[in-house]
Amino acid sequence: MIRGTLGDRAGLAPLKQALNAYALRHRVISGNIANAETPGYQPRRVEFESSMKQALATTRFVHPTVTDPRDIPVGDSSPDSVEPQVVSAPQTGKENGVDLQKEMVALVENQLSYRLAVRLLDMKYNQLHAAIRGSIR
Amino acid sequence: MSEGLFSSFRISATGLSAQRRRLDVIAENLANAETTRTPAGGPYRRKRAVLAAESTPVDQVSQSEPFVQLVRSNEKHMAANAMESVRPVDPETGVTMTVQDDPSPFRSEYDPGHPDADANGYVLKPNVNVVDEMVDLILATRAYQANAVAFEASKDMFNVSLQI
Repeated sequence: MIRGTLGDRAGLAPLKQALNAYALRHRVISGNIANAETPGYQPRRVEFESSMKQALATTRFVHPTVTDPRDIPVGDSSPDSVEPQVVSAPQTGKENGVDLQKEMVALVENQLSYRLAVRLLDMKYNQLHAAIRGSIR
Repeated sequence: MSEGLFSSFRISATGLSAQRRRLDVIAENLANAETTRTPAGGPYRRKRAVLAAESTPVDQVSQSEPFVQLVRSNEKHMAANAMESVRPVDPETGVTMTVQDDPSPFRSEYDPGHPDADANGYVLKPNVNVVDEMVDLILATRAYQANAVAFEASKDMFNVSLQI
């Protein structure tokens, strides 16, 4: 319980989800690069930021959860339940839709985002650490 | 999400291995560009590297439709988000390479002095086009480099996450 409270107050949950999403996106981009010359392959993308942004913007009091497969999911998704989605990129009509330059740029961009999220997470933990100790370092 | 960040190493490794073996095939084709005798008889037949994605394409992953469609007619209504509970299975995929014979016809060159020449003085030469092979060589090299960069990125991300 304490762990949950600390984590919630410090805003760690979205950062952790972002880390997961970036790790997934890295794997997906790696797969696109590995298949850059595979005939018939269409690249995949990871959608995360837009759904997370929406979830953070429309945070409400109640977050109904699905407890049974027959339940109808209702209510805006809470930021905690935002999952990255893998989708196929829009069809280019080419045999192989991978643009290697685009993928390399996406790779570097995603790598930097990952590093940033790790850095922020580290800072949050340091803040908690300082608060617990009552002094910095 | 099965193997976490580690599976990106595996994916890049499949890419590296496929491209390197593709280079082997190209080297073999170039080395045998003029070979007129093989153990199977006849001139050397060009080999071709065929690349294929490893697992199911994302289109085959079920994106199940909700059987009821809920409409938000009032601002105070809660939005139904049935689609968000559907999570497709691991869609990231490596690459595999197989080697196939190129069925295109052999070149026929006029060289009456050649020991393998037929009655009319024509020699069957391998169906290897050196220019095509060189272009393929460059493509394979660049693809290899791209995979190596992706691998470096995986290493960096993994290192960074150890510093939390």
